[in-house]
Amino acid sequence: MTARARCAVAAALLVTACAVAPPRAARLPPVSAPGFAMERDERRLWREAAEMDARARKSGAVLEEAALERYLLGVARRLTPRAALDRLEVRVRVIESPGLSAFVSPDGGVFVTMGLLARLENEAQLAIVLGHELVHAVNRHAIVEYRTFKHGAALASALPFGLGELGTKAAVTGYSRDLEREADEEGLALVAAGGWDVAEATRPFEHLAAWVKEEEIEEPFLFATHPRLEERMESYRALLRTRYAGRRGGDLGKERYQGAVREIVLASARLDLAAGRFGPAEQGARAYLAVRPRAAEAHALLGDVARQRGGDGADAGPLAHYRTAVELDARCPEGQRGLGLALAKRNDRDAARSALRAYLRLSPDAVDRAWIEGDLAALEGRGR
Amino acid sequence: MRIRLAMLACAAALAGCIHDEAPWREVGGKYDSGNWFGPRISMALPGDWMKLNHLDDGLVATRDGFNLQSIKIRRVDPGKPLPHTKKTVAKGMRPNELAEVLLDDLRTDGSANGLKVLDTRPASIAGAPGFRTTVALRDSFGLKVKAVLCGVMVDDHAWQIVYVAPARHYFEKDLATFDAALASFRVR
Repeated sequence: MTARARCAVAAALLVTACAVAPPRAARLPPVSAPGFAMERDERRLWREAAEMDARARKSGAVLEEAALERYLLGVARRLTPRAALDRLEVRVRVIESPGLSAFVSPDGGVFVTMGLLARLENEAQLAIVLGHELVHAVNRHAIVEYRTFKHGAALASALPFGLGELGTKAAVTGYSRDLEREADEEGLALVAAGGWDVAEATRPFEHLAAWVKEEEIEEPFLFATHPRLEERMESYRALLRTRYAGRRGGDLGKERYQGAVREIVLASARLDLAAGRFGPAEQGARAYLAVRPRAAEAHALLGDVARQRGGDGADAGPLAHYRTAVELDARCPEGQRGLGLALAKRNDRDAARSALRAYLRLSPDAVDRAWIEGDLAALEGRGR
Repeated sequence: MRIRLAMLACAAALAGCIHDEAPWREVGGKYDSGNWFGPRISMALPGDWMKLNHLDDGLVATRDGFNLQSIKIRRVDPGKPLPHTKKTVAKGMRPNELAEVLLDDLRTDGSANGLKVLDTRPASIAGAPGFRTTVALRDSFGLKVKAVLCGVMVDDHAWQIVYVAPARHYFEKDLATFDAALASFRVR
């Protein structure tokens, strides 16, 4: 099932659930409350969440990047109330997807996509996303939603790495409006208590809105499904106008964040390029260059974007990017490869041969060696 | 009127008889799409392989079960959307350009995780210049699988031929069968 089909299924299930919404199940005290004890059905949800986590890691859909996980966990722990830290299994997993999503499992496992991390601009924005998600776990929203909707259809089998069937459904399809608002409000309070700049509150949603427009989808199916994006932004704006009206400044953590997710930005741009999303791929490469202006691999990626996008200046555009990549670092294999192929297209045989040979020297185990050797043979008149 | 009704009944019965209701059927040694209109494809497969019925276009075949090994053929029309990537195949694409698009379509498939290209090279398929790319990946259950993704442009259509099997034991076991099948692939 494609991502778009999954979105449609999720949306359909959610609409169905809303149309026949049963009365809200009783709220439970947060996990941080004194005397917290897990209830029987909740224990089952937590067990499923742990199984989902194991499946996610085994599936290869989750990025194995210890330093990044440590950084994200550090931000999540700084946000989580102390009493809740002792009771939740707080962790942050990065899903290798260029889409923009985040959700939390009932036991405190936050899943966030590479695409979302790549678009966020600073640690304050990350804290807003994580804070919102962690409130769902701290305030036990999953069990409330499960008890409210337990006769609803199971969405789980349609999702990546086989998510569990019970409360995780709410975690990934979005919670009811009142619970989402609560997560907005209390999540922002955690951000403020952690010392981050709350003025960034609407930015993650602006990124989501831009993505929704680019992708031409009606609503993102994770993180911001319900209530709708505009409502969510308005709810944050209202909080900034009222509760945080006098608050100025705070920790942005821009450099810290960009240092931690830098490679994610480039990796996500590559995934965007594979998906044929040329605009986001170009933006990603340029965002990476804003942090590392002399990164030859990012210039080579811009060349790949220009080459695959085609259109006006289909030859000159990529060639300029590849030239820049090689000028910055002659040992950049992607740059030499792109330059050689672009020059071959222009019939600049000597220069093309030189670049392609350099590529093979730099990448002796290149998986596309056979193609390049074929191109070299053609350039040398040995035919192919 | 009675004759017309009888003819209609006969036609309906005949349609029922010739319609294969079983989900799987033995390939019988050689698969032939038998198209009356449009391009017709054929591929020789061992007699004990089964094919999936009720496919509009292409072939899905296996011997021991879909999860243990499969060979799939699909027609890719230029300009038509692909299942996963937004890129499309274009008329007159060179084999390496076709490889890039079809590989990116696989790479963008949400159920194919951690895809790694092991080898990609030009290959002659159905007598035309095409490509052959071997990849390793994990499926949505975390099982390590390997796949050979092949493609070729014949006239105005691209054809994708894929062999997929669990990396451990099964991939090597039927690789020679796939190679023989690929060598027999024809488009008319």
